[in-house]
Amino acid sequence: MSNIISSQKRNEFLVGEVAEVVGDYFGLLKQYDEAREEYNQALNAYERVNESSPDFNDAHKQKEIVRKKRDELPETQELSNAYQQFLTLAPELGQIGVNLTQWFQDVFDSGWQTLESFLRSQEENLVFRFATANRYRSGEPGTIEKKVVLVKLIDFGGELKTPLALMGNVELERNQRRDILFQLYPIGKDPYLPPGVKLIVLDETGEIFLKAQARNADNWIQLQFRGEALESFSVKIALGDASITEYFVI
Amino acid sequence: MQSAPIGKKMINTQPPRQVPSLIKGNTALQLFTDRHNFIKLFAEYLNEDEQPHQKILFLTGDGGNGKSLLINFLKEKCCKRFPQEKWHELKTQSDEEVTEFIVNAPDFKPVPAVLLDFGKHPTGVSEERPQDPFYGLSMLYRRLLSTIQNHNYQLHFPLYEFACILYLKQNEKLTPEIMSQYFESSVKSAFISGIMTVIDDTVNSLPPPLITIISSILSQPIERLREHIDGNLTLRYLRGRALREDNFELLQDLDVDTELINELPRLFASDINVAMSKSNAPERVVLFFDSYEAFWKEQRNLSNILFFEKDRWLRHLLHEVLNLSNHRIVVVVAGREPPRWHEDRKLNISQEHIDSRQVLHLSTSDAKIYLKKVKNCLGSEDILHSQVSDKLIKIASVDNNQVHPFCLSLCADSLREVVKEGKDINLDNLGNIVKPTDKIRITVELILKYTDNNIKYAVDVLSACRAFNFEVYHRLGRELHFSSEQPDFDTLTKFPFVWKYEDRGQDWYCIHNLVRQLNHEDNNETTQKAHAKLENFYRDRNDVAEAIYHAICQDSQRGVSEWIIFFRLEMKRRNFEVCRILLALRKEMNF
Repeated sequence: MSNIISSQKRNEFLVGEVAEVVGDYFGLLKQYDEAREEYNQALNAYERVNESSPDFNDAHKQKEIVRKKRDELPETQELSNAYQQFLTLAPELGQIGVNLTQWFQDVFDSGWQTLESFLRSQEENLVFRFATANRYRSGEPGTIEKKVVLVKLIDFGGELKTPLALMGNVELERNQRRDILFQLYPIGKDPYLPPGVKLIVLDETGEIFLKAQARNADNWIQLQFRGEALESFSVKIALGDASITEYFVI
Repeated sequence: MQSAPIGKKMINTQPPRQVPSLIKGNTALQLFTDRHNFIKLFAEYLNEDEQPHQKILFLTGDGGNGKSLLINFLKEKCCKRFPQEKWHELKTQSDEEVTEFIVNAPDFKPVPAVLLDFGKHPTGVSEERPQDPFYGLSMLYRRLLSTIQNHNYQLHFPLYEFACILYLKQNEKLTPEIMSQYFESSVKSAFISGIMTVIDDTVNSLPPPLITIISSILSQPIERLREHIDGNLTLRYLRGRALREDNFELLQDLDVDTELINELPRLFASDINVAMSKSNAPERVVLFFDSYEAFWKEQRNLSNILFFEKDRWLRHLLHEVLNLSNHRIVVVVAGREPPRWHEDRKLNISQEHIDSRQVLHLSTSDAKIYLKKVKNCLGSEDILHSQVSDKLIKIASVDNNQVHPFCLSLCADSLREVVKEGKDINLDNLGNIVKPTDKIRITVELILKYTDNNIKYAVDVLSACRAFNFEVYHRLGRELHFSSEQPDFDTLTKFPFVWKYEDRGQDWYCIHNLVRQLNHEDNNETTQKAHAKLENFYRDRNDVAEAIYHAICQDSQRGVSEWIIFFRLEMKRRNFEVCRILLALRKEMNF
């Protein structure tokens, strides 16, 4: 019986040691809450080691050491700069791209707005108003179920003097295929696109599918194609070394 | 010393016939009974496109009441998509009709599905550790990729794969062997084949935008890597995703042990979300997780902080999948109790995202249907006549109209031997038992009743092993003096209480947990001797963690003392992988 009691006392000390070393481990991994919990468990176990146990003195010493370790733990994990940057970026990593089908349900990703709303901000831009008014197009009469036109400002971050607008025009046909038209317009005072600016559609493998390039006096350039639900592609606008890519899923 | 198998006088004049185990593999699935409501619900998750379910389906219920069998049945027989027209017609029908249709449907689109069973014990230094934050996710990834490719679909995991490379490199495991093992199914990925190429020192190609990063990871001169450039590979590999070189650079700057490892689930979820939105992806994919409670085993009374630390990587993954709201990714989890995910303040999954359903025991009438199927399977009318059936149901009943499915199947399984060898069985001595654990004890005794002494002895010995193959078996046989030649091994591994341990590889087995548990509780002398032999065996192989496991089984204080010393040493070496193996051992042995 006494052996069992002595064994139990020894067990308490071992339980304390295990919890302490696991506390050290969590501390090293900067999981401070978990480390604190393990240290508390270690303290409780050392506390239970009885005076008559041969481990009593060691347990008493360890209690002080563990208490100090616990109290010196930082409150929260200090994130490295890289980790902070990663956490800011992380929500975007799993994004699929702009969903064109959702456009028909009036769900737009940030940066995109309806043509009507965009035109209100361009009341004085007669060139753009004129150009877009003429560029509406439609498929065969009676074959179109829904259509939607959205616009996004393209910002090259000061590298390009002429601001640009990318207009996406999507028509849902009765056979569920989508007729897609992308147009690139200048929206500044200059009525012409910068010569050499490219509008490129890449397929989901990243290969060039369609390409257009502005000449000296182009008011707009455009690319038109058809696709089926769930196909993905990207639209790249490039001038010199600068480029902006928008990702889409139909 | 055990004698050779004792010859038994055959009563039956029929030649012995092979009857498959009723509790394992395909036969268990064939005998699957009831659960029609779950099958229809699962079919909704796979087929409903207009208002798709966007929750985690969580199946709860007592141990042994058939959750694992249900999960396996869903995975093997019900992962099917039907045309929407057919589905609309089907969903108006009764649960039974839907089940009947789904199981026997000739035309359907198969839905890729993978299963991760947290209840599978980690063994030694094996990387097959389903609960481990790195290896558990890696098992899921490898199984998913393999299944997807078998179905001729493609999914790409650029961020996750890149992070795995970083992790393996940091842990000095970036060798061709490990790469083959971990990325075997994804060798078609340009990224992985590029990496393997460089490690293998043969000429091939590498995606150009990542070249500087890869170069620094592998410490290879950039010029050498540039020789292998194929301009289109990166774009093809990234599949038109909005990933930039600096995304990868950022990952490289994360601390592998304190930051990167915690972000693996997010990277996996991001990748699968994008991959599943592509036109060449399947319309649904199912991630099954079984034995969720194994994350805690006996350690249920931990403080919230330590409790939620155990399964954090899994919850992180599920949290991200839910956030991305992709109804094409279906998640089914089975565990004994409903999850407490909403209680964790750090990583909260609210209850509205969980479709929690209780799996009950079989009703008496369903138990009778089950035994009828067993009768057909055994092909013997005499053995399962109504009185015997009623008796079996009574033994396996835990309450009025509540029949414990596993207990019932174990009882029925014991009759296989009767059929095989023409022995008589006396059910009267089983008595009227109240506690299911006692019933299981009796059932196990019943199973072992018809084994010879050599087999019984071998079972007691092998109960000490978390897993064994012929080599382990043969060595134990030599050292503990029982017949352990190849024919003995072949005979033993055909018994229903010897289960295949596929996670460990071909030809690995384990003794049924119930038998092991009983031998452990009874402090079986033979099992204890085997622990001593196994401790030496693993010390010879320098597998200290496994040796400590066997040391603890013999003398807990000696084993735990060694655990502490070894843990400290490995922590000092910053060998956190071994620390995690030791922490898993701590949980398993509850100290």
